Parts: sequence; structure tokens; C-alpha cells
Amino acid sequence: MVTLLCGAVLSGIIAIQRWQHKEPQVSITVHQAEEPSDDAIIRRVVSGDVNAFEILLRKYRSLVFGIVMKHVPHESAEEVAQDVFVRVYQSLPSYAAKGSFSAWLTTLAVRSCYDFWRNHERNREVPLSSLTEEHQKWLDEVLAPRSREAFREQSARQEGEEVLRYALERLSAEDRMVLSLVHLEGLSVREAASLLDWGMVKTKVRAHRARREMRRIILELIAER
Amino acid sequence: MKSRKQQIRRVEEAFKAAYRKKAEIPLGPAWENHVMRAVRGLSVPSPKKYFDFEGFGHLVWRFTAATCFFALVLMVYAIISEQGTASEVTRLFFEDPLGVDMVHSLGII
Repeated sequence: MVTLLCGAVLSGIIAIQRWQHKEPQVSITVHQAEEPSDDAIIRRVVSGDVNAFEILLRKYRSLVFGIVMKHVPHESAEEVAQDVFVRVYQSLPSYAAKGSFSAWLTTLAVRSCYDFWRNHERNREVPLSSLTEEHQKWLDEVLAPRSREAFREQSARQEGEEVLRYALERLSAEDRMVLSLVHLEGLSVREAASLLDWGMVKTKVRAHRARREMRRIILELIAER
Repeated sequence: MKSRKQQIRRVEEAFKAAYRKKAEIPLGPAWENHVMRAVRGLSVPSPKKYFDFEGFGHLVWRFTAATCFFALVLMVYAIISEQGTASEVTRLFFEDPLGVDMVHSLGII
């Protein structure tokens, strides 16, 4: 007991001595060209300086395009990305710096993509596309036993993207979005629910159903070969 | 059966890889100008005009269960206690046993 007590006192003394002899920290100040913070830019935009919005546009266009390109056809990406920024501009007063601006922007971008598919579903007149011989060949090669590296190379080919697009076209807007976010992108159910503004239970059930539906489509593709 | 499952899993993996493949569109100043033109065409966003419909929706749904429960309790209470003035008047109005109308029953005339 006494030994323990002595040990504790001794280690306390050593800690105090180390703290006293601590070398003063050298502070290096790097002078950078100061960029206005997002909040400051947003305040400027809301107070009527529309041109300040261009700073946000330049800063976040890659982020928005990255999201949009994953969810909508490439030919519609520019239009949807524009819709996202218009939506952002109109909703700026509601942002109110609750969290990070990029997270808020991501949510708006995902919801714009979801809206795109809902409108697309409503106005669908063009019949669904069909698989070509090249696509069938891609499927054959994916299913053939190969090394992991060869498989990865094969998967990332252009045909892979087209077959995925073909399969996703057969899903509803809800199933498509939740499947993309949870199963293809690997987000958690909580994250997907927050992005789509759905409840946790709905997201979980939808994700499960969407995956089952996708498996049914894959099975059809395999059977058609 | 097992091989079918394996095949499905393989295609799923291939789809994931295809999805993660980055596609890029070169974004020029023309696109930015186009967006800025669209934005300039809009009025300045005003916090006063904004109404948070989504937030309101959440609020409504949050209280749905409590409202339903309250309505149920009220209904049970109304069934059990029929001696209230309102129920008496209602009964009088519908049954009208003595040929008096509601105006008489309330003593207005």
C-alpha cells in the first residue's frame, strides 16, 4: 500500500517537472491568401450580393458533379447540377449554418437526383433499353472464373456501366436511389436515410427490397445468356 | 443453387466496381455562366418568404400518434358519459319526442 502511494507521488512529481521544463512551442504562422468562409459568403448572398454565389459555385462544383454523375445519366448531369445550384441559391436562408455547408450541399444534390428519377419515371415514354451482344459478352466474362485483378479490370469496362444502367432502369426511383446509396456506394442506412430525408425503418425496408429486386433482375440477365 | 448465388454475387461485385468508376465531364466556364445567368434571373433569397414545409411535415407526423390516442380517449369518454348537455341536446334534436324543435329546447323562444 505504502509502495503504491510512494509510486503515485513520485510519478506525480516527475509529471510536474516535465511540464515545467517543457520547451516552448514554436509557433509558425503561414500567411496564406485568406479565403472568405462559406458562412461569410452565404451572408453576402442572402444580403443581396448575387455575384458572391459564384465563389460557392466554383468551390463546390466538383463535389456536386461527383455526386450527380454517379446518380443520373451523363447527358443529364449538367442540367441536374445546375438545378442543384439553383436550389442551393433559393434555399440559402434555410441553411442557417446548422452543420457543414458541404454536407448540406450533398443532401440537396442527392435529393435533386432523386427528383430527377421521380420525374423521369412519371414522364417515361421511351421504352427501356435492351442489352447488346457486347453487354452479354461482358456478363459472360464477369461470370467466368478469373483472377481478382482481371475481374476488377473487366468490371470497370464501359459495358459494365451500361449493364448496370440497364438494370437500374428497371427499378423505381426510390429503389434505385436507396440501392445506389446503400449497396453500391456503401453508405450506412442512417446516412442514406438522412440524405433522402426518409425514416430509418423505411430506408432499411426499401434497401432490402431494392436489393432483392436487383438480384431478381441479375438472375434474369444470367438466364437470358 | 449455390453456384447461382455465387453468380449473382459476382455480378453484384462487378456492378459495384462499375459504379465506382469515375467518369468526368470537363466543366467549362460556359456552364458556370449558364448557372449564374439562371441564378441572377431569380429574386434574392429571402428568409421571410421561406416556409419549411419539410420541417412542418416532420412536426405533424411526430404528433400523429399522440393525436390519435387523444381522439380515441375522447371517443371512449363520450361513449361512457352520455349525460352531458351536448349529448342531451343532440338526442333531443334527433329524436324530438314531444314535437319541439331545437330552438324551443334551448329556451330561445
